[in-house]
Amino acid sequence: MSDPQTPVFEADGLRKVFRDFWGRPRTVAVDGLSLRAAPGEVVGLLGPNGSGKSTTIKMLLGLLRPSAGRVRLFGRDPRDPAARARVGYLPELSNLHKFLTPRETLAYYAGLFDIPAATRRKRVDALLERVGLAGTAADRPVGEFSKGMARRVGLAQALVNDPAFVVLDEPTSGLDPIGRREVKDLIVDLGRMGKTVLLSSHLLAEVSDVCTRVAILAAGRVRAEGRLADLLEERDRVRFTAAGLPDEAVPRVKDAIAAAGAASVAVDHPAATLEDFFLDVVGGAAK
Amino acid sequence: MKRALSVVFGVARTTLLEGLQQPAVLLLALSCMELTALQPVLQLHTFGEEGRLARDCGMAFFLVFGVLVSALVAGSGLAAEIRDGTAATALAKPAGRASFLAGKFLGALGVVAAFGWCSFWEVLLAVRTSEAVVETAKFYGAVRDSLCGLLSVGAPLAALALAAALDIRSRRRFGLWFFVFSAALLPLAAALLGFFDRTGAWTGAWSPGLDARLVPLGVLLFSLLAAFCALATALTTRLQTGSALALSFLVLFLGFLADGARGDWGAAGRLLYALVPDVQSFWLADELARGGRIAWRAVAGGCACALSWTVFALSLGYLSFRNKDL
Repeated sequence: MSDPQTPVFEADGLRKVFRDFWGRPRTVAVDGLSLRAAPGEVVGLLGPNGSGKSTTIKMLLGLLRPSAGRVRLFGRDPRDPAARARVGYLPELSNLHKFLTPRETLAYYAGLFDIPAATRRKRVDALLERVGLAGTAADRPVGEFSKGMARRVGLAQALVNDPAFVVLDEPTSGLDPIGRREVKDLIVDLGRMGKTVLLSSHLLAEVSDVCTRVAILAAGRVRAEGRLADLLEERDRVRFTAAGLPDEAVPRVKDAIAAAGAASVAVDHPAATLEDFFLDVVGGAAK
Repeated sequence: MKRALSVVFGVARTTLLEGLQQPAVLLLALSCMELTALQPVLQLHTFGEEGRLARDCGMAFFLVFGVLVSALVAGSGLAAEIRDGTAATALAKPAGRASFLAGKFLGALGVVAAFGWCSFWEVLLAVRTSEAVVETAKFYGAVRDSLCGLLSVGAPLAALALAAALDIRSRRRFGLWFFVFSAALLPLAAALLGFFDRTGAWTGAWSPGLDARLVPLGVLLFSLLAAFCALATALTTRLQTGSALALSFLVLFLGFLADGARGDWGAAGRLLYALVPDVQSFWLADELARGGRIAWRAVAGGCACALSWTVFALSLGYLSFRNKDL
């Protein structure tokens, strides 16, 4: 067990330069990035395409060798296999063996963690159930799957070792709105269970719904970082939400607020998100 | 150590399953088996050397198709995994790169072994099929063993049909089951033929009727294929399948030249001999002429040479793979 105070990962001055065949610098993908996460945090890595999110993740996992800087995973060099024993990783593309079935895929990855056979079988069944692939789909080759179904298998393989640190690179790509919501719920659950999550995405709503802290990357550098509530809070504005207030009472409340010294007062009805509305409609149709 | 072995076993098993499922591997194996089985029938100018031709052609098919299968499986096993990102997914788990590479090699070697087992039985049957002089109480003359020829051509086709039936009925893996049925049906056919003489007559007593002197040659060539499998695995840490295949055949070609070059090309020849495996020392088919045998000491020497080459190639592969960006 590692010290609970030890950051789950820490990157200091990380730089990655991709070179061409002759060793000449081709692209600076990450340039002096520093980032860390404490146990139990759900950290969002935001940025446009090509901002260095996936490269950063791969350096954190020891898949890419940094050109400069230092990375620690649970206080160890990520190239040490033992450092990765408590990590679950969902890559940007699902990257699955197309001739294997989901059950075989999960058994294969569980085998890399040396999980005992009995535990492995139970965990594989539970994960297939969790990602909605139990039944006949569990024994069909992954090569026959849609992108969304393959994504579910990818997600299950990332959780096969019951990881303490889960790295999700664009986890909802290829999923329909129901799948997206399930993944978001899963991330929230992981956070509640005390797991550390690093979520990379360029979908802002996705990150704001589930993350406690975000880092915004652009051109390989962290441009903004902090707790989501701190970054987004507008301290000079106050919002009240009231249920059951009659329409004729609204002007009086508005006047009272103005009289209390508010510079401006706006009144509207809160709207549900399109995602919530969609899920209600589809859920109703299913019933 | 236990975890490393678990990684090696898991990666090897997946590579083996995937390799046997590759349509190209199945086509190569089927082509090799059928060409070997048919060549005793297709020979035109044999000069009374039917058996020798069947043996030499069969073992040449075994070697050339084996090198093809090695490069293809190593390419689909490692180069494709690096390209498609499955290697990154596996290596983000507590799997060391050395264990991963060893697993990829062993899995590819498993595919080559499955190919080699089936192809070698075909060579044994082809040698029996080829025309030879038979002298019995009722018959004297040169005869081709038609029953053996029929079974050796039919066994892979039957394996194909059985695998297809299994796939249609219960969605079993077609490629894997083709190899399972071929590996079982060919020895079964050979065992059944033991009850028949070369004219196709039932003898009532079982005798092997196969040229067991080919076994040491098969072992030698398989050990050479293991070295080529290691070479292809090492090459595919940096190259795609096509390039690895081309380089494997270049090494095979240079390997055939190496022994002669050592004497004729001076320092360059000696350097070549030191760098590439001397394929001539594995190709001892000529020792079998006129009833000769290959000494097991020569087999042990060849296997040791192939093993050292395998270790050398895999070590270079590891050095190349150790710091590779995935």
